[in-house]
Formats: sequence, C-alpha cells, structure tokens
Amino acid sequence: MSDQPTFTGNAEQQALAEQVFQIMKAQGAFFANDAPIRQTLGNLAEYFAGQRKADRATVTQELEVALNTNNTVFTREEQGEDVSYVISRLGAYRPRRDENTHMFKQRLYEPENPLPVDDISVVVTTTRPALTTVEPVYISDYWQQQAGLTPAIPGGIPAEPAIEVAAPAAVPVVEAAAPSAAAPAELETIPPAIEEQSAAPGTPAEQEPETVAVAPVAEKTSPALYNTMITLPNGVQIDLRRPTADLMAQYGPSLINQFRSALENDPLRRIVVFGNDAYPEAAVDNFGKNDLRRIRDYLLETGEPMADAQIIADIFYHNPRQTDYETFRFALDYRLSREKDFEFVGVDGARLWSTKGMPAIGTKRVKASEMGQLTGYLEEGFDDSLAEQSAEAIRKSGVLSHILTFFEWEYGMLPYTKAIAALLPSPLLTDQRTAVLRIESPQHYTSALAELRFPTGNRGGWLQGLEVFFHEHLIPGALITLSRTAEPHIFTLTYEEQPEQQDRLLVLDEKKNKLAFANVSYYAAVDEDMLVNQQQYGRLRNLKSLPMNERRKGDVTLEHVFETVGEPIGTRAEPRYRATTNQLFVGLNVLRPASREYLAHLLGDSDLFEQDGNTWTYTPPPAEIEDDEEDDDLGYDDDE
Amino acid sequence: MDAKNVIFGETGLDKLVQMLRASGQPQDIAKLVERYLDILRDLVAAEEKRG
Repeated sequence: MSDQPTFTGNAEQQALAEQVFQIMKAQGAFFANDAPIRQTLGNLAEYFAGQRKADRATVTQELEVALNTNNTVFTREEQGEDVSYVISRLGAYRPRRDENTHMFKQRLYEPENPLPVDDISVVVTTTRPALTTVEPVYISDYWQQQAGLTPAIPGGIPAEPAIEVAAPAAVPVVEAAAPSAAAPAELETIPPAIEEQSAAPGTPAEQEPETVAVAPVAEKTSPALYNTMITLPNGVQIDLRRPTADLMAQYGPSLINQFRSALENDPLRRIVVFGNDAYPEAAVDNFGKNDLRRIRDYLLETGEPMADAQIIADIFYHNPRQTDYETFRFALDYRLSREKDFEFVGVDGARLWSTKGMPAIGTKRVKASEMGQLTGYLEEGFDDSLAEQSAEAIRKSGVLSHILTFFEWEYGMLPYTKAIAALLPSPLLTDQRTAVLRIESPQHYTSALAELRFPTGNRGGWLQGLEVFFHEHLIPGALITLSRTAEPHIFTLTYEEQPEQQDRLLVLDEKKNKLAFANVSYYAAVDEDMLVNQQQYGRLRNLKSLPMNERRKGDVTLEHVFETVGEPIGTRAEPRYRATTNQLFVGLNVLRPASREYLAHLLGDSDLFEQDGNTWTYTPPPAEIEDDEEDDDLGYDDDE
Repeated sequence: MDAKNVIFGETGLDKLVQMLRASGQPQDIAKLVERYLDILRDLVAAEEKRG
C-alpha cells in the first residue's frame, strides 16, 4: 500500500517535510491509521538543530516554511505560543466522522414509510399528565401533513420550515422560557427580499418594515424560525441560539446537575464522573485484584489515609510529567470509588483514600450513630453559629473562632455548624460520608488527623479526633481559632497563650463514670462565663454522666441538668428550681452539644419551664414514687 | 436535527465522548457541559442549514 503523501515546495523543503513526516509517522507507529499524531514545532526544531548542528532559530524557520508549504499534509495547530503539527499515518489528519443516520433511533422517529392512521387523535394524545409539566410534543411531518396542518410538498420532501408555523396551533410548544430577545430581533431583520416574498399579491409595497407582523413572515420559509428550544429533563427550556456563556451563567448549576444525572442514568455508561472530572469509561484504565490488594496493603501499612498521587507514586511509579498521568489518576480514583473495600475520604484538591481495617480516627467512647443524633439539633434548624460572623466572612477570611464547651473538650469533637461548614471543605462526592483532615498546631509543632463526618438526613455532622490536643493544651471555655491553609485538607488550630493559671475544673472520671472537680493548670485564654470551674458551677459535680442514648433526648437531659445546676426554691414535696440561661447552657453542654437556640427551644417547648427575665424556673412533674435516697443525691444541700 | 427531538444528556453524547477521548485527559464537568451545548447547537444548526 502506498501511503506516502506527495510533498511540495523546493527540493530542500520537500526533503525536510518528508523527513518530518517519517519521524512523526514513526512516533505513531502503533497508532490507528487515521489517528492524529502531534508534534510541536519546538521539539522538531530541537531535534533537527541537534542533528544538523545548526542554529535552532534558523532551523525553526526552515521547518515552519517547509511544513506550512505542505499544509495539505501537516495541519498546523496553535495553542497560545505553542505551535504543533498534526498528521496521521495515512498523510493528512482528518477527524473521523461516524455515520449514524441509519441508527434505529433515527428510523423510529423519522420512518421513511410511516403507516397511515385514520384519526390524528391517535397520534396527538389528549390525556393530560398528572403534573402539568409543559413539554413540546414532536409530531412527525408526515402526520402533520395528513392532518392538513402543513401543506404537503410535491416530491415527498417534508416541508420542515412550516412545522414551526403549525406547531403552536396543534401542540403546546412553550414560548421561550428564557429572555429570548434573539428570535424577535432576527425576525425584524429579515431581508427585504424575503419580506417581498412574504407579502401576498396585491399587498402595498410601501408597507413599513415595523408593521410586518410576525405571523405573515412565518408563513413562508425563514431560517430564523427554526425551533432551537430544547427541554431539559426538569422541564426548563433553553434556547440554543443564545451564547453558551449566557446559558451557563443563567442555568449553569441546573445544566450541570441535569447532565450529571443523565450520565449516571446512561445505561451504556459512556462517560463516567469522579468529583467534577469526567472521562469516557472505555478509556479508563482497569485495576486488577492484585493492584487493589497492593493499594490496600499500602494503606494499611501507612496506617492513615493517603492521597491518590502518593499511591500512584509509591505503587505504580507513575510520574506526574507522564502524558497519561491525569488519566491514570482519574482511573485510580474512579475505580477505587467503585470498590467496596475502599472509601473516599478526601476533598476537592486532596483526594485521600482509606480502606477497611485502618485505625479509627477520634473517640471510640461515643458511637457515630449516637454522635449523629446528639448533633441532630443542627439539622433541625437550631444552628445559631452564624449569629456573630457571617458564612461569607468566614469563607473569605478562612478563620473561625470558637469557645470550647465541656462536651467538645472531653470528646475532642466540634459540631459541624454552619460556621464550621463555611470554613471546612464540602464533600466532593454526592454520597461521601466522611473526610479526613489534618489539624496542625503551629504553637506546639504537632499535628493530628481529624475526621469530618458530614450530616446525613436528620443526623448532624461533626469533626472528631482532637481529643489529645484538647486535653493536653486546652480546657473547657478556651477560645480556639481554626484557620485554613494553602492545602485544602490541612487546617491550623491555635489559641491565645497566657501565663499559667490554676483552677478547680470539671473533669470526667472515666473509671467511676462520675463528674468531679480537680486542680488543673492551664495556659490558654478563656471565656470566664464558659469556664466550668467549681466556683461558678460547683453543683455540676452532682450531674449524672447519663448514657449517650439518654443524652440524645434533649428535653430529658435538660430536666436533669436543671435539677442539678438550678437553685432549689420549692419544698421537698413540691420541688422547684431556678437557674440562669447561661448556667443551663454550660450545664447542658457538659452532657451533650447544644446551641443557645436549641436550649431556648427546649425551654420554650415545655410547660414545665417558666421564664422570669433572664432566669428560668423548672417545676418537675409530680413523682409517683418517692425515693428518699434519690432526693438526697440530688443535693438540696448546696455546700458550694 | 430538530430541537424538539433533542434529549438532553443523550443526543450527541457520542460526539462528546469522541471529543473527550481525543482531549486525552479528564475534563471538568462544567467545561464538558459547555462543549455539549456547542454540539447540540451544531446539530440544530445543521438542520437549519439543510432546510
């Protein structure tokens, strides 16, 4: 087979072009015959300059002239300052054109010889959908001609332009949902020749252009009247005449969502998506069982989630400078996301992977399901974290200040409030449950892994894994600052240092499962009202460390807290308690996380609580069985 | 192709797959939607020209 193209130009240019062609052909020796083979002018010049030991600039010029002279073979491409040439093994590169007009779908919608029906109502359904979504109904040209809606064209060629005229009368084609000034504008600028054609015989020639009605013009063929409105699956109609940038600006998120769900629902899964990246499934590399086992062993050996780039470098020895690096990285991420043994715990910009059997991050004392219920108040709408700082301000500054409560300090967690959500990254995948972040302490040169649990349904989210740091350097009531860094998954945690102070602070005796006050030295600046010391909140030593499944019931926990921290003002037979909102807030946050708004909701929701200014009074429901011992424990004797 | 027959996310997807594959690396989905709109526009415009 002679696959040598003919080269033009002078003898030198022909020789040079042929030499370049042979080199590029060798480069694509294993390519398909019609696949594009690209090479940059820079690379070619460098090669020839080395071969000929000539000046590179001169060689570049010679190459450019020779290849441009043979532009029938060498297709020039320019990307910024980079110039490259494309050929195929057959000669000039011609993009493949797949003939798909014979597809079944095409034949189904546009049959060559459609079967006749007696009644047009068979085609145009009169039934109304349950939901009144307005959708354009396609009626084949044949049936429209049969129904007399459009004139039949002799020769059997359907009069397609006329469909637009007939369609509004027969089918509920919706007008442009978007502001489509384009169509009327185009109608108004119809050339005079068409206007004259459109005018019926005898129409006065001096008719003003503005008075030309749309309908008469539309009765004749006019390219401007073609239907360019497409309907998205959610019923929104968009006009393809509008520039892409405009459409994206107006419908961007909706278009992306619809497109994403269309790809997910595609039975052929032609394009697969991981995060915000998409690639044809057929071109995504596969990973065998052995590869997956090696990745799993590697993760288990390192003992912490690893980034995809790290996995690729350490296991597959792929270099980021390799041309297929991004494709390989996508393949790894996509394939791992389909494996049940692996879990994606990364964020956008830091794709981390975890596997089964890795050490848990964060406290084991509270189960994830219990913590989700304890922070559920955030999903119920009692999140007041943005009262002092807007989400936009947090997002912009990348800094968030927070006062630690006893529960947060004890279990090393932070509820996933709207304020924290504004600072921390959002999930990359739709079904992502967790993300692993690294929290660094620049004051102590330490860092810890923290697990961010995203909210699901009515269960709240939280950040856990800060137990060691909190216990080593902080106390309840300390003011901490969480800041973003250049890396999307790394944050710094700082606090204001101050000279050593000693106080008797509330601690939880794990062995006895009891709360008590103990002497503690601390070096962090604190909010005095939130400092859980014996002087302010001495009664909290009587607080029972309720089991977690009871603590999730906010009302029950609050009643217990009220009975403990409240000042007894009733009698033994009819006990009543009085406490300030702040006392209740601190007390409630010893047993479970709660916002001030959630506390206000609990107090206002029950008839047992009565407000009196800034204080509340609690009257417990009459107890049926009196238990003297219990009463003694609850401590009417306030010795603090 | 008549715009009435366009099924968003299905019509012209093969062309998009070819284009994506030719690009040689994964693309951002927002960019892909832009390309896809261009493909749909071309399909509809082709019909217009033919008419």
